[in-house]
This record gives sequence, structure tokens and C-alpha cells, in this order.
Amino acid sequence: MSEFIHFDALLQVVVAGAIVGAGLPALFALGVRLLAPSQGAALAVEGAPSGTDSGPTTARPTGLRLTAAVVCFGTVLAACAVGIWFLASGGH
Amino acid sequence: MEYVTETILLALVVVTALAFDFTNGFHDTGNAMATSIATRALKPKTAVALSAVLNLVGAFLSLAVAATIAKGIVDANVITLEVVLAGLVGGITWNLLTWLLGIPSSSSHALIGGVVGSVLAAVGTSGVLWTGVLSKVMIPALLAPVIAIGVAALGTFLVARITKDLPQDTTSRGFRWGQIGSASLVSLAHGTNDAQKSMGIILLALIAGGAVPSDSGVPFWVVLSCAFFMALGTYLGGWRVIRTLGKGLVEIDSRQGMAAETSSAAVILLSSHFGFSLSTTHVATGSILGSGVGMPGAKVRWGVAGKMLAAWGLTLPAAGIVGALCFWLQDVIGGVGGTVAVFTILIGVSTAIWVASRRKPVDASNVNDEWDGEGETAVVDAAESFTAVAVEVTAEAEATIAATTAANAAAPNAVAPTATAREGVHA
Repeated sequence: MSEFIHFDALLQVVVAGAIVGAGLPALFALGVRLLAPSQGAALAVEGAPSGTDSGPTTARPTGLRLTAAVVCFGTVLAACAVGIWFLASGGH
Repeated sequence: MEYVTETILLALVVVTALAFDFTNGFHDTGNAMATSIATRALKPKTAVALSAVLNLVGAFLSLAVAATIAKGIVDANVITLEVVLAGLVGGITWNLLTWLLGIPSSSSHALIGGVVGSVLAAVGTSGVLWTGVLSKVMIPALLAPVIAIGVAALGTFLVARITKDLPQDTTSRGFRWGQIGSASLVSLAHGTNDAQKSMGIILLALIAGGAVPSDSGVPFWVVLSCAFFMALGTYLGGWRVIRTLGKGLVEIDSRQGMAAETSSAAVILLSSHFGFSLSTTHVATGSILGSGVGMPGAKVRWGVAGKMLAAWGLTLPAAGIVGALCFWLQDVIGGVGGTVAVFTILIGVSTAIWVASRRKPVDASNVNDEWDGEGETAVVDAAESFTAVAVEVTAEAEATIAATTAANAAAPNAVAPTATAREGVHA
């Protein structure tokens, strides 16, 4: 069978594919969530304006959340850059 | 006279290779852009224009051309211009037929199928490396969707969990950008990989025809014209395929679209990095399916997916039969007449398919219409009308060829387009 399927290459594609292909969307989702206006106390990490009005607060993300979001999106962008570099270098 | 024959043959091979390049772009637009169009992250025309530009850029991005056709699949020594021409016609015919039926299928597998068929017709089974066919074509075609479904399903599931309690307008706004970005990477990868295949074919033909020395790089006009025709094909947009991918398999939102396109880009790039190349089309289709599997509450139309899988199984034999018939026809008639006859059939079949597609056109205006449960009726109609048109065109083609060749040599030709039509109905 191994004559027909290169199992090690296949395994590498599956593992790396799962990490990159599923990990990046998850990071992106985390970034979107961190930047989203926090709703109620559940998401308020620190220093979010405490509920003066009863509706969902539309507070801007605080410093920590903003930094974390930048890290998330930064990682995603870096991965895209690696992808383009890979294509440009004809790497296959 | 010998020189003139060679020149005409070479010119026709180059034109046919560019035609294949065009259908490749045309057929594969949906791989990158179907989800962005379906979620309205981009207007349909904007999406195909963006994809076309990125395919164009991608074609210039890297020129590490491996100037071989179907390397490791057929014996390189039996590749002649006649074999390449017949193979290309097989590939184009299958690409156009599957487009008519709205089925995404791999352009490179179609080309390989055509070449394998024409090699079989030229030298018999000894010219084909069957281990290569299995390990490089058949098995990856089965594995690619499975891997992509898994990766995209996992990604979609994670994204859905993380964004569960966010309002939909917030997620849509963010994810549309992510979706456009990842789709762009898929387009770029397509331009780089697939335009190079056409460049490789043309370079090989030029070397075989003695137009350039054997150690020549790719001439600039070849790079330019391959990039141009692929981008043109992409821009005209295979709307029928886009519709099936974007609306037929799964009802998709921008979170699923983003997860699907990221999975596609990651799997395509990683698989070529690890030397286990998978077809862009198979990966993209699998990713879209996976985004339905991983999304809680989403419905996947497995019936549509099953038809696609069947078409992928048919790609190699169907394109191969056309390739083989074209080679035989070319061989029986011989010389310029044979080449011209095959080229005429290509034009006839393409015209027939185009005419059939006009009876139920899909374009930018209706690509996102509701998928009507039994959406396949459109497909069946298209197939029926194609059969009707094909019969007319067959008659015309026969007449044309009968005029250019001896009357008895024209007989095999009657088989080619009719056989093609039957493939279409069964697919």
C-alpha cells in the first residue's frame, strides 16, 4: 500500500493542515470577539465601564483586549505573508 | 512541406494549450470566490475581477516551471505534439462539459486524463505508468476532500464556538474581511500553480517543434499569454460552477466561508510543501462541505456532493476516451488534415456546449438565487439540450472533415462528439 500512499507526507499534511487551517480561523474569531463591544459582565476583563446603563454597553475595547486582538490578527497576517512568500519562492 | 506541417501543428498546439488555460481559469474561479459571492462579502463581478487580477499576478509570481506533462504518469519518451494536442482536447472537453453541468472538477486531472488516453491510443498500455496514475491521481482525489472536510469542519466548529454569543452583524463585518483575504490567497495559489502547467506544455511543444533550444527558459510571450488567458477565463467566471459551490452544497455564512477558504489555502499550500500535491478543486469543494459539517445546525446536501464525487471518478476515463478518439482520428487522417480535423471537432464541441448553456444561462445576476431543492433539473435540461445540439454539430463537423479528407477516412470522426455527448448525460 505504501507504494501508492506516502503515509508520512499524508500525516504531515493532515496534522499541519489541522493546526494551520483550523487554528488560523479560530485565532481570527478570537480577534473578532476581543474587539467586539463587550456585552455585560461576562466578557468584561478589566476596567470596562461598569453598568451605568442597563443595555449592552458599547464600550471601546480596553488596552489588554486590544493588544490581544492585535496579536491574533498579527499572527493571521504573518501566516498569509508566509503563504505568499512560499508561492513566490516556487517552493514545491 | 514537412516544415509547414510542423509549423501548423505547433501553432495549433499552442492555441489549444491557451484554450485549455482559459477553461482552467474559467472552471476554477469558484474554488476561491464561490463562498465570498454566496455570503455577499463581495459583489459577484467584483469577486471575479479580484480573482482574475490575483491569478494574473500569481502567474508572474514564480517561474519554477517543471516543463513536463503528466510527469511520472506517462512515459516521457512517447510524448509527441500529436499526443499533446489530443490530450488537450480531451481536457478541454471535460472541463466544458462539467462546467455545463455545474460540477466543479479538477482541471489538472482532466488534462492528465486526456494525455493518458492519447498515450494509450498512441503506444498502448506500456506508455502509461499505472502506479503513478493510482498514487498521483486516483488516491489523492479520494483523500483530498476527506482531509479538507476534516480541517474545515474543525475550523468552522471552533469559530462557531468562539463567536457563539456575538451579534451577527459584528461577526459578519469582521469575517467578510477574513474571507476575502483567505480567498485571495487561494486565487494567488491557483494562478501560480495552474498557469505554470500551461506554460510548461507550450514550452515543451516549442522545444519539440524546434522553435526554441531544448535548454530554453519560458519565453516572455508565453508567460504573458498564459497569465492573460487564465485571468480572462477567471474574469468571465464559470458562474454555473460558482453557483453549485456557493449555494448548492451548503447554505453558508461569512464565518463558514472564512473557515472554508482558510482551510483550502492551508491544505493546498501545505500539501505542495510536503510533496503530496492535492487538486485545488477537490480541496476547495471538501472545505466548503466541511464548513457545513462543522457548523451546528447547518444542512449539507450530500446528494449534490455525491454527484461531484462521481464526476471526479469519471474525469480520468472520460477525458481519456476523448483524448484517445482524437489521437486515433488524427492518426487515421494523418498530416495537417488530421490535426485540423481534431481542432475542428474541438471548436464544434465547444460551440455546442456554449449554445446548450445559453438555454439556461447562469450569470452574475442569478448566481445567488435560491437553490431549488431539486436544483438538478437545470442540470438535466442542460444535458438534454446539449445532446440535441451535439447531434447537429456532429453532422456539421462530419461535413467539414469529409470535405478536407478522403471520404473513407472521415468515418471514425462520427464517434467522437457523440461519445462526448453520452458522457455528459451520464455525468
